[in-house]
Amino acid sequence: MTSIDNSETSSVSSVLELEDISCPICLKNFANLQSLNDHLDTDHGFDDSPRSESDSVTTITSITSPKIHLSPHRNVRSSHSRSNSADVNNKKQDKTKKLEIKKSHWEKFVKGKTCNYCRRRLSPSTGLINCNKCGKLFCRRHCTNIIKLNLEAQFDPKGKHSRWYNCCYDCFISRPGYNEFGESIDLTVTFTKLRNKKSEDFQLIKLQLENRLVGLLDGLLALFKRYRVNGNVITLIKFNIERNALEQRITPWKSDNGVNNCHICTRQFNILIRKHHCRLCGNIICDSIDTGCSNAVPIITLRKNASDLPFHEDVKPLMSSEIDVDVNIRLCSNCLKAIYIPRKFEEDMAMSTSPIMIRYHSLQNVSRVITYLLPLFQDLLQNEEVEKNNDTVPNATNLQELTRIRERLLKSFGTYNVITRQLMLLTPENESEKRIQNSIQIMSSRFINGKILPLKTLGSALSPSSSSATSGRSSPLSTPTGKSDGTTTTIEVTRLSDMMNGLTIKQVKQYREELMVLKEQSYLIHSMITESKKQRKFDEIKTLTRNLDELTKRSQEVEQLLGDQGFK
Amino acid sequence: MNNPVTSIKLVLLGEAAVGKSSIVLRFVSNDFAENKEPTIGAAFLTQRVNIDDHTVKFEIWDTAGQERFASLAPMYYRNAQAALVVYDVTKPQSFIKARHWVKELHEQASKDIVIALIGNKVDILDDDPNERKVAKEEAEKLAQEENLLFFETSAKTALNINEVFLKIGENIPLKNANDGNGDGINVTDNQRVNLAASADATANASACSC
Repeated sequence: MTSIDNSETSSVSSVLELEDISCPICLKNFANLQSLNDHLDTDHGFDDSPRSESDSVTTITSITSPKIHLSPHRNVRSSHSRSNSADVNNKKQDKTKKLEIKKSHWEKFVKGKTCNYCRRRLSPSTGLINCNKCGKLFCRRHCTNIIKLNLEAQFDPKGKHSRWYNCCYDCFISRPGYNEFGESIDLTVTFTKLRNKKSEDFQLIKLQLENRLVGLLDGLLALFKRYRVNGNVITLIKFNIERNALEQRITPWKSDNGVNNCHICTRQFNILIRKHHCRLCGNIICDSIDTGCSNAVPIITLRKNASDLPFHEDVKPLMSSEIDVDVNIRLCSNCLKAIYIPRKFEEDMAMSTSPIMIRYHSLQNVSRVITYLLPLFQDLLQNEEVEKNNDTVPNATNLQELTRIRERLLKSFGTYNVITRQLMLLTPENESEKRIQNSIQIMSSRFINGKILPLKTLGSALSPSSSSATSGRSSPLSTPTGKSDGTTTTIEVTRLSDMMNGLTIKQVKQYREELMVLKEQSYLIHSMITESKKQRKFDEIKTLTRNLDELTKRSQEVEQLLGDQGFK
Repeated sequence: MNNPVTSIKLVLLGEAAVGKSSIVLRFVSNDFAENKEPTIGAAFLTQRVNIDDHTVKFEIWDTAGQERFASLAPMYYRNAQAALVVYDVTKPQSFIKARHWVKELHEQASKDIVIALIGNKVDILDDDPNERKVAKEEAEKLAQEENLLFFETSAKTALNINEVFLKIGENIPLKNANDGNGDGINVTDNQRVNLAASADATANASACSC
């Protein structure tokens, strides 16, 4: 490594000291990614390779060196103190390296110049600072942000000669990747690369296991084809002998001698807990069902679940014929995990999301739009009403805005409805999907109930405003267009309410109210009838009964109208 | 008891708290209660009155004035022969509501319904005439235009209460004579089923020849 590189690294680590890189396991803080990596390997046992220490350090350093920077969550205000320390660094650096940032574009100070941010007259007491990026002059208070610049004074967070420099607020926020919540640079790729380097050994072991698996399965299938397809006792014995030989050839079995405990669960072997060899790693394990240390797995299953491996033996003729390939091999849980868990994971990840969930996500997006727009719309409408009451001429742009928002709202409601319907038309694949579907339906009807009611009342609030509007008013909400707008609202609303038995929400409310009153009255009449019976006023009973019949008839009618929306 | 009995189905309509139930209470029980509870739904009361030589039985449906019971009203005025539309002479809003009721009755109720417009609570005016907010002339004008009976009453002092019902009783039988017993609601003693007679008739009809 060159001396420049070394000093680079030191400067990098001095910058990184400002950040906190903490171990995801023990939360200990580290100066940089490299030390975190080392810590993970030594303290948490991620490193299972007996590699030489110096070797690993050099490889890592060459990768890490000046490229890795965790970018800070820089707050505009709190950056002042930091900028000082960064400045110190820069000065030191500049002295030793003689690498100067471009200064030719700096604005020259002339008497009477003002700060480009606060327009204060600049003087030595206010501070005279050039933004290192744009070169403009600022007072001390308005050039406090720091930004990483290369020698050409361009923003370059990964440049070889990039340093932290003071800059103005405009340059700070206009740099690429800036957002209000601080900046983040994704270092996942770099880190993954590092981790892969470290987990190479594990990958190698996995590869070895996979190769053994391929050999074992291919060999077994070949044997099976040779002996078992037209099997009799002699060929069966031959098969077993050759199978044993094959298994031990591919995987060297550990010697039984001196092994008294299961390799995985460490229980002692005895008459009940027998010794078994894993056919892939050769370790001695038990076959306890409780611990699941090892299992005899059908080879067909093994092949099916690792179909990406380069098997040679063709399994199809066996599958298509009626012959049952009843050959199992014993694998320990470690080997099974190493080979099959990542595959299962990949498979799960690759699985397409359920169409219900896809629709649900779009539903959420639409609902977000609606919840955002509705208060805006209400505010605008209120302003409009106030203006109308004050008899001032309504602002045309306001009205346009109002119509625009309302159109968007209606459109959003329409989309929401369409998505909900599509969602309900999907046939759920299993019980949980069905449950999800039901909950979504309940949620969405509740959402529409809650949101469209204000919109409807607003719609009615709009119509009197349009009818009372002076005829000369050429606003998009004035009488002619206003009316057509109103009808589209009702159409939309009615269309939406198709979900509710063809009733609008207002109607449902009315009918429910009526039904309640009817029930109440029926109850009253009932008690009146009993009272009249006690007093033997039979002619009254006749009238009352007739009325009760009428009430019951009407309640039934209303209940029918309400359908699912009635009281349960 | 041989007097013919005419049933009159009568309904009271009007804004809340104008004194509908109080009018009925005064008419049925000749009683008055301060601070009555608001009516729920529709109350049913009957009262027999002798007019000239026949008896009129009023079947009174006293509806609740509160808006939420508005949906019940059509059920009760639909085949009523008489309606009292009540307003409070001290509350102009109640008179507006009364106008609405009259309009609705003309549109929805049976054609020959007898409507009486009642301005209630005139007793308040005895203490302070300035309390009057609905001019008598205005109400009279409405009554004339719409062909209504008109009274100003006080349930508290019983002023004009019985007169209202008597007047209605007088108006109805005349109409019934013209229209006949179309609804089958009016049952006179003559029309009552003679159980003894029918029993005889069935006995004869089922008489067997053997």
